[in-house]
Amino acid sequence: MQRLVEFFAVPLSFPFMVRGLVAAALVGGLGAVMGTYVVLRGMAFFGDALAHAILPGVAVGYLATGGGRKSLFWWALGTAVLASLGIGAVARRGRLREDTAIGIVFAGMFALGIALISTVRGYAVDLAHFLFGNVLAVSPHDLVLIAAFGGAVLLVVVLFYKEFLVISFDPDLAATLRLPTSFLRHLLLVLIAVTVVVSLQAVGVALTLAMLVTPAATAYLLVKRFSHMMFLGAALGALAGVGGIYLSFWTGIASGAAIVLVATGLFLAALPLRACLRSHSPN
Amino acid sequence: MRRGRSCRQGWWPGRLGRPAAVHLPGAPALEVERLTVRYDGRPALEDVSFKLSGGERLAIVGPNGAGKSTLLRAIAGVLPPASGEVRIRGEDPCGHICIAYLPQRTEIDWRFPVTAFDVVLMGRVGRLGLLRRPGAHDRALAREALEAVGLSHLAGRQIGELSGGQQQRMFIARALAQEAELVLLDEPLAGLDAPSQEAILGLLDLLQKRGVTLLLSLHDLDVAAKHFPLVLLLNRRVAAFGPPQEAFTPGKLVQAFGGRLKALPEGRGVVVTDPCRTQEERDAEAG
Repeated sequence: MQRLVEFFAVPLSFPFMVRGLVAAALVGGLGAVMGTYVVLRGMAFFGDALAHAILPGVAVGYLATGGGRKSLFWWALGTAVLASLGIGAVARRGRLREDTAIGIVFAGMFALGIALISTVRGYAVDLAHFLFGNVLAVSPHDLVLIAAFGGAVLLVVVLFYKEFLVISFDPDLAATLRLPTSFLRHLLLVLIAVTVVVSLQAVGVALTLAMLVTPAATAYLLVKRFSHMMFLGAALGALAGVGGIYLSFWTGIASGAAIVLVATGLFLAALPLRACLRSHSPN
Repeated sequence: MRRGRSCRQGWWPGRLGRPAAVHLPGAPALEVERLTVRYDGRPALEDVSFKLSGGERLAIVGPNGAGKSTLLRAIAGVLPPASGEVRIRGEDPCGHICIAYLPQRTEIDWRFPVTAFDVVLMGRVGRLGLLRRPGAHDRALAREALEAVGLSHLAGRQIGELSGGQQQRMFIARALAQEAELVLLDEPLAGLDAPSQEAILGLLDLLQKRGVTLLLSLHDLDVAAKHFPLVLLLNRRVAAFGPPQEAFTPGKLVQAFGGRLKALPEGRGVVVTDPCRTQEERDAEAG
């Protein structure tokens, strides 16, 4: 009992750990809320591409401010919003298939980002920071940004809940109900972009996709209503965030990787549980 | 097929509330005039014209790729016409929320986490406008609609757990909840067994009694001839429009179905041999 209390309490005596836990829980929860749309609309590749496409924006910000980290969030946010709308436009207008177009744009932008960062001496350390994140380095200022933008995304989701549900399930119905489908689709892309930026600090470019997809997919296995999927996904995402930080603290593995490993573990645990639920429900 | 681009919308929504098209008195329920629709530059429909009065029902028949779905989607205002016009009660379809388009069942992701009740309630979203949640009135209408199609006991089922016939009835309930005056059904009988087809046809009678104008795409000439006073024979262009006994003449059928149709001697009928359909589909219909 004593050891169990210590397991949970000791990390809380470090302020950076408390900030890390709060940030990871917020990012995990928010990722799963937007991840519900990503999973159901089949946008996983778009989410991954977006995270990678942010790198050049961050690199430019990094170079422009001489290695400062304070303004990077804003550079990332600007790039993400532009990239999400850009990918949306390329995908619809081009002659290429959508996933091919996304692949070309995202790989090109990612390479540009690495090229820019590689002009700086000792770039390996900073690159690793962007690629894999470091939630334990979150400052109080960062935490305020995460909470503010996360809250804003959630507010918009609540406001447009029924419209987003209809365009995700049946775009033709959305059109015949005369919903502003084009506006809603772009709004959804921007919300996903903001979510990716918020997740970046916690899990980095390389693993952001996991925060969008894994907890939401885990919830998808277990429930059969959209709102339940969103709530359960958010709970699982927050749990993965908190669990990952503890795992990282006690084993010394990188925090971003630990968070994603816990999320993946939860997904694997849900697979047999689904079989169980299936055998007990009618049909 | 490209989905979801509607009514030539701009990037920014002109409004987020409900549209208000005026129903002009005396205007026909549906008027299609010289309609041409293109996909990637190629015409999918050419120069299609016809007219329907309120409460009429029309079966659209033609081979695969004839543009049946395209025609329905253009009438719904989901696809923009390249030229020509669609008028619902005298106005462009884009202002109307009284049009229900029921997609082919193969177009829907049946693993989507929604229940039958959730889907029927979606029919109310167009009437609500931004920031308003469905209220008691909307829920009551959705429940009544499910009752009318005989699905009340399955309201809480995830949609993938419904049979094909039940899924189609659920969509009809959604059209009822939407209070649609024009209902467009894309291949509602495809892949259904005979009892389920009968149930759907029964519900169409119910819709018609409520004054709803109905358009269906079908690939079965017999069902069209037996249950529809009006048929449209389509193969990108209109081959025939009118009562089945006038429209389904061997000459016009060959014109619509081309080489895939053989007229039997002495006017005893015609045989449609559609190579695009699998043996299983034909067996399913025969059985």
